Amino acid sequence: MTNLTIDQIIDLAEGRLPPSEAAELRARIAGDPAALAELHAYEELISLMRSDDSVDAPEHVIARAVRLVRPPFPARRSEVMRRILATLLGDSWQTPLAVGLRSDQTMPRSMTYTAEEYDLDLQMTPRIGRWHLRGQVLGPETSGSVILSGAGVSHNVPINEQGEFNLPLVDAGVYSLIIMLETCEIVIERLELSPLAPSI
Amino acid sequence: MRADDDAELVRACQRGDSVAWETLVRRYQRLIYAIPRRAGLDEEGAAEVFQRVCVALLENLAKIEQPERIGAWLATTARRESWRQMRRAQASDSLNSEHDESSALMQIPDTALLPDEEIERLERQHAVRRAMEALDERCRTLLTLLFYRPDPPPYSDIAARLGIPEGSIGPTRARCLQKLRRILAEGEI
Repeated sequence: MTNLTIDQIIDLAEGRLPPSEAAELRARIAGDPAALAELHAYEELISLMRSDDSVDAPEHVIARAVRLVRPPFPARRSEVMRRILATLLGDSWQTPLAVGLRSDQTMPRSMTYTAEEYDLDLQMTPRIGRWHLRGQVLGPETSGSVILSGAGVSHNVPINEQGEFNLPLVDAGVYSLIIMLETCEIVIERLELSPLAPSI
Repeated sequence: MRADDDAELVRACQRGDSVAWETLVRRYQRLIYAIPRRAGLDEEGAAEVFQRVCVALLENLAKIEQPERIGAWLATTARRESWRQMRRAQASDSLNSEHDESSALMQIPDTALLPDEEIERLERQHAVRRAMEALDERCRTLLTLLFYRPDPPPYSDIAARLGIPEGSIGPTRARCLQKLRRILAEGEI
């Protein structure tokens, strides 16, 4: 690839060059089989990514398939898994602030839910342009895991002995959160994390 | 990431390992779900296909001869189940009780809906997504912002998001794409 850099080839493959510059570069590459092969490989790779409009299967669909193979459970485990929709009790962003304070997207957000005999506290904290979610489940049983799905990602984290869980940083978007306990699932069907100003 | 990793996962599923099963389902969930959606099925129909594919996988685990090609097996099965689901929907719409699942018509594939080339493209897109998972976070974020968004943000926004100078976006992008190609080549996927 005499006199051609990989940056030039990728600029061309990405379609960022002005038409005249792109045409000139294309003509040069046409005479260099190695560069031409590289260009085609990058064009195909970028095309595959740009045309990929697939989405994650909904979490309840995945969970149903996962449960086809059940791990060995304690004998007391119920055969029927209850699914409980959590109800929002409180949201710090909806609570009137003291005089002189304004709600903004840099403030942590606390949400409290109830789900039959369970309570759920969620803390959402902005961090480097993304959201950090942690929370605690309070109720008769708290061993299990938490699945956060949406915005093209799915995270599954364990719940510790205190009923607490800690999720990785996620982008703004709409998510579903499922608390998977031994005898029931607690579901927050829609958890919206607002876009944040990019941090530098 | 590698094909032999898939094979090991399938073998663990054959031994009844529920963790391996969940890993396998989650690894391929997007591909399995994409196929019925691409065929035009709604969310409910795609969910039905998803479950049928997973049940078929479970029932056929012991018979799978090339576990390293489980992705291709799942794609083929998802396409077949999508055809069946569409026929079930058509039969239901026309109230034609003769169209049950065992009827000959139900078994005839309609390749126009999901041609081989389309299935191959979905499989390749899935392979690229898996390769993306093997990248470091900075590369993954950069390539996602550049190529997986319908309207990629300007370089200035990307630079602010990644905490790097705007002028280094181009070279960083090149390095990340090279890494991605290397992962795809090494993984033989």
